[in-house]
Amino acid sequence: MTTLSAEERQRLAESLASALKASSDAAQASSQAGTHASRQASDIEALLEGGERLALRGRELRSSVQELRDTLERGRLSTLNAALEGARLGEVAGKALLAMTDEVRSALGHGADVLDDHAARVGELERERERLLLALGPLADAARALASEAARAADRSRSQQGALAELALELRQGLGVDPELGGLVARASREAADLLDTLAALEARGAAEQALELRQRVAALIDAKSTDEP
Amino acid sequence: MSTHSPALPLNRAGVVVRIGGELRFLVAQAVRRFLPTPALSQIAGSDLTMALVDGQVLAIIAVGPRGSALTVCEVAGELVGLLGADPEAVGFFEADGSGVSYRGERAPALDVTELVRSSVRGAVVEREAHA
Repeated sequence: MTTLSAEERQRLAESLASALKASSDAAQASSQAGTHASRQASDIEALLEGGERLALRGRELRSSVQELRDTLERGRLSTLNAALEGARLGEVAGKALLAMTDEVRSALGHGADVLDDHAARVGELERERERLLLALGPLADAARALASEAARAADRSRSQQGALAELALELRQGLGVDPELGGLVARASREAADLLDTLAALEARGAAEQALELRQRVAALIDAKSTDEP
Repeated sequence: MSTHSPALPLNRAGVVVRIGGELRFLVAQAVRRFLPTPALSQIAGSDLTMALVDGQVLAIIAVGPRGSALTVCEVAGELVGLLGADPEAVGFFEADGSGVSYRGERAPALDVTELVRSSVRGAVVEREAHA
């Protein structure tokens, strides 16, 4: 069986601890990405459905525009029939009727022009909607593909996590390498180094007395802890 | 002092219609009414077209491309529909030859009686040709 020095064991434990943490982070990130992508795909689907509803409304609008156009045309023919009666009455007797029908026909003509304008705008809106739907289609496909890829990545990360956990168990049982302990030791080393840097900074700023006092307090704490242990 | 004869009126009452881009004039007495274009029925084995209007069967003469209105005229007490004669204006128009002047454009008179006669002649010739 291979034997490791304490230093090698610690290095291995630290590497294992950081690999476990990276794997856990990756699994979490993949899962979040998958959730976001799924939500985005759903949002785009909802927009596409909205587009279909707009198409339906567009068809209804076109139908009502046609109905209005027919109504205006019937109105125009009615005024022409009334004007015909006026023409038969003679130039003097029919004058008022002709003037009135002219005015009504002119108003109906204006209404028909406005209606044509509205119909043209409805047509423009319809074309714009079709362009949007054409652009949204590939986006929805891409979002669905991304969600599926993120789900696969999350699965792979979870598998890696499992494999690393098994490796950690084997190393703990076979070589006594404990990644949790290794992580704690690494953290304690970092914090001890930070403490020493802070004390050195205090001394550099002329607070040697305070620095000494802190060093004594730390030493006392370590002594007290050593005395407590059997 | 007017140079016009009292027998020739300055203005004529009637309808200016557009037939395939050209203006024509129909006297008010010849025109009965205007209707939205009805459903038309072709008489089998002939070029004649009929339409049911207010429960009455009308002979239809196509004078131009199908428009938005049917101009119903009366010829010798019978009603006939002109298809493709879209009414532009109704009222009194300045006389110009046999027709009128409308917005600076000449609108020659359309003789509906002659139109019916030539339509009937055409149908007879066709029937004989088929026979």
